[in-house]
Amino acid sequence: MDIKAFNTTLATRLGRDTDDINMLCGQLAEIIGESVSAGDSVTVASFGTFEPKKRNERISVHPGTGKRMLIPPKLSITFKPSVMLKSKIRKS
Amino acid sequence: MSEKVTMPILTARLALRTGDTKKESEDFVRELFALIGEMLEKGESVKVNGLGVFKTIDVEQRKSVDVSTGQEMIIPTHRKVVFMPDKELAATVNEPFEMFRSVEIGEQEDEEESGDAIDAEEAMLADARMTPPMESAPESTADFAADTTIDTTADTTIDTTTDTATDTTVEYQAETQAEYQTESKAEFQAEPQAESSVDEPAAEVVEEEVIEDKHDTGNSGEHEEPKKKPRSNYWIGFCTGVVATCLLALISWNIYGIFAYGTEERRAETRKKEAMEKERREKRNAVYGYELPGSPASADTVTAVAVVENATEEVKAPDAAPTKPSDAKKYDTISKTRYLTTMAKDHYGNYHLWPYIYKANAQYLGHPDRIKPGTKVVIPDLKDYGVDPSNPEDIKKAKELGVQIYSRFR
Repeated sequence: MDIKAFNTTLATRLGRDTDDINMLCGQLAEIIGESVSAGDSVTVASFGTFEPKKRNERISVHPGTGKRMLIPPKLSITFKPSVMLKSKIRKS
Repeated sequence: MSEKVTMPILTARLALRTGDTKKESEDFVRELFALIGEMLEKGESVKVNGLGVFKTIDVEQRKSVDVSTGQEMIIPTHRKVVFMPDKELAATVNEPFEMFRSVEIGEQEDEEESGDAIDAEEAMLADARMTPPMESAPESTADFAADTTIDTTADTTIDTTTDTATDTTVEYQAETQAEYQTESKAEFQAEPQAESSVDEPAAEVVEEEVIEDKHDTGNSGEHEEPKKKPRSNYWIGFCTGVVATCLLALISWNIYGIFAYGTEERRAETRKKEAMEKERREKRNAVYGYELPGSPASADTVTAVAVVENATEEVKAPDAAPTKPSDAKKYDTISKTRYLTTMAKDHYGNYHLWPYIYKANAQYLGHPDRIKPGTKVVIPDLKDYGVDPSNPEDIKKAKELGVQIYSRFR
């Protein structure tokens, strides 16, 4: 489901404007982003939690040139689905 | 520790930012994630503005071990949820490290970049309170628990590797396309999987193939050489640097030398100065029969040491130097308890007259308060300076002299 379709469906369900929904999504994403980059976990009941994760720097070989590269450390946002969501999805 | 942002907090913040009521925000958030959940259940991926993509992927069955019993078991094929954050979101979270880029390194172990990066990382982590990824306890029922725990662990590990691979792909592709031309994308895809376990052999293998494709010189046979070449390159660079530094030093000393003794005039001046110094020294020699310590030519002229100590009991002579009656030139030695003022008091009767002792020895003394203990000083005759210790005017003059001396060092 692409962004447009998602926004439209949500708009219909809530009885609001599609543009509003789009804006709200963006704002929500920003809030989650700020919280996670501050080191906090954001939990949505029955859905999952967004957590920060640190990846240490590492040395690996650049495939094209064969040179050893130092890849810098990184902070990323990960999503851990809640048990309920996982069980809903699990059936293959 | 990290804060747990829950639904009420989230909706409150959203309401604040958007101007909606709390209820409206709550409804929105609930519906949003409910819809995502629905789509995921159907197996459909969902893209949300600003957040990113939520999708399901199929996981193959694999062998594992039941944690509680230790028995072997099989985790069946299933689906799992995957989240790929939006580029902007990822950048916001990675803000502290956004500026870093992958950097080529030599064969050395400890590189400056790694040091800086680690320091930056430490600083960031001090501020950003981080939860270790797998802290949350298994939340499920008994039967499910074991399976879930193992599954989570395995999944997360795989996720990391896969993510790493994906990340590497993304990072490297950016670098690659920008700087290098490479045909080895196929090899590259296979590369990352092996990467996490053993770097070198995989790299070597890849190198071999690449080299055989590209180089038609005598290099093709040896896959060792590409590794060695960088090493020798660095050595050459290092030696060049050392040689260059030495040359620079030589040149600068030469230039300095030319400046110091630049013109004929200056040379003559310096010669004159040196001649005067010599005269002075010889004079002293003749009169005192002794070279004062610290003077440049003291090593050369070795005359009999003839130190005359003051006959009075007050004067202490910590140094066991042989004395001989001569012209009443007095000497004294600075010690931790014996300062110029102490000597002035002893020899002249008034400690304010120390500046005259200083004056007589000015060449060898620096800051009057910081004279090295053991320094021998001449005690001049006050008549040489026209000073009478009983005259209060002269005492005043002496005090002023003292101030003058100190001011030189300010």
